[in-house]
Amino acid sequence: MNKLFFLLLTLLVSITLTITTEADEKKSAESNPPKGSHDITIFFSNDVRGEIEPCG
Amino acid sequence: MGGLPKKAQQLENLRKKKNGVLALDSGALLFKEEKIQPDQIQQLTATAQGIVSAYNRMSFAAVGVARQDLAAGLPFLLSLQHKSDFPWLSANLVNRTHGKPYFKPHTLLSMAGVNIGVIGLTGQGPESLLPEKDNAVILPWEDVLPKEISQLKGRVDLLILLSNLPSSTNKKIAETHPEIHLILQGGSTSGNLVPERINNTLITQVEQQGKSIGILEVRWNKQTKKWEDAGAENLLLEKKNELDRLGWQIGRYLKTGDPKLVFKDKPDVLAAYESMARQHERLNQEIARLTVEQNTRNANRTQFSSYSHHFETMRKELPDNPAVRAIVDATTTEVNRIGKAAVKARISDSSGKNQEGISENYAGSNACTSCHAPQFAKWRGTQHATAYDTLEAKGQQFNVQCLPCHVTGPAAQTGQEMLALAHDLRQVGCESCHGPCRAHILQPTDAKAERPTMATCQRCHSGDHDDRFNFFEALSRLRCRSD
Repeated sequence: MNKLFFLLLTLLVSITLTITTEADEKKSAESNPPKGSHDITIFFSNDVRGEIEPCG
Repeated sequence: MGGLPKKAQQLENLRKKKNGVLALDSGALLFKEEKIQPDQIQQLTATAQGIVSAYNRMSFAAVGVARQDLAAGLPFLLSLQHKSDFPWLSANLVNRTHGKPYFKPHTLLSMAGVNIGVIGLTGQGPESLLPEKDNAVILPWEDVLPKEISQLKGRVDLLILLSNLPSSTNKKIAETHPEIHLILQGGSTSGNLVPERINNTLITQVEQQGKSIGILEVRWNKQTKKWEDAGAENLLLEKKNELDRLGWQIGRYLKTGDPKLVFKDKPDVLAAYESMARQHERLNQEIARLTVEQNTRNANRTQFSSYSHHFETMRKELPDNPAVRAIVDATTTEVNRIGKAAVKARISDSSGKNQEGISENYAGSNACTSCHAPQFAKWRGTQHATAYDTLEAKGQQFNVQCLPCHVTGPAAQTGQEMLALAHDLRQVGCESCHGPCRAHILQPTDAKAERPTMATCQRCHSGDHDDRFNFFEALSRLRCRSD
């Protein structure tokens, strides 16, 4: 009985660990660029031409 | 649409979400035209100072110098430079005598572990923009850009050009200088320009007068410094689609049996089929080759840099940034104060004449009612009849930049005339479309009122202010004919 309980517990822990690791890896891949790459965001504009805000 | 407070809030939101955000502006920031009427200079320079304060608050990293930015004179921009927390960039606006640039030719930045170089180029044009006393000249880009690039070589991982040169010139720069990875251009095109890749350079820009902002998310590999080739992927897709279409056509021939037998008496049809079959074979071979190349690229994908772009329209409902809103409000109040003072000065000038109604050929919309009552009533229900009121509501009724499209007869008036208009001309009245009508009122049959043309409307409903304007739709809605 104890052996069966231990086996079930081990299985449950290993499944939980696997799921967590996969989720972390996915999140990490989404947020961190691959090795050697760098993420930059360029916010750009041009020709504002004195339009501080629309007139009317 | 538009407005610096909305733009500032978008930038702030982006900075909350992302770590490395670089704000750049290609130029033509301060003024609409290259020349300013002397009586408008005080208001327009006050606005320019407000814009610089707002850009300081937004922590812009660099701004290019365009010809329009010199409209209030080179000394004005040089003095404004001292109030700017960001560098104004121009490599080719130089002193005529010793050839030294008046502004920084480039700036070096570091963001997210990447060393970034930004160069500025001012557009060339008539030299009359720069008075003799300034002793300044705008050099051709060919004279300065190679030197700037060689100075930055080895020091930067990503090289950006803020260019106010024409679009065709920017393409030429991209073709001849693949060391430049991104050109943010201004002026050349109306509307947003989806990033276009030429060699290893992307070229993009946003539409005029702050109606949109551009966001470029870059994943940069500073070892290879090369953009991923999206063109090859698209080519493979295109070839596969072509193969599908051809396969379907060939299938129709085969349905009736072996074409060599079925069409043995129709040589033209058989020749067409055989040509298609050969093309099918060629496409298959080409797709196989492109697929091998694609797989190799995928294996090495991390070596290349990629990007995604997004244009955000500054819609009315977007939130304002409170700090920049306060700067804009203070600027608007100052611009209005200057306008009010000009009106006072004009009314109490030495001639002592009442200056209201100075536009002598205009009669005002009320004068039209006695003969054109239904048309006048219809006009009262249009937005034209409250155009000036919308300025008053926003405290902009003394702003000479706004007034021309909110009063009657703008084309004939200078800035100061607009400020002192008779009350009856303070909307977009009958004479905005039909021209000055004093003569018509005195001699209705001999002096006819004008009929509006598309050009009449486009004085205000131009791409700058109303890019969705449809003349025929507007005419059917607003026309004065009672039938």
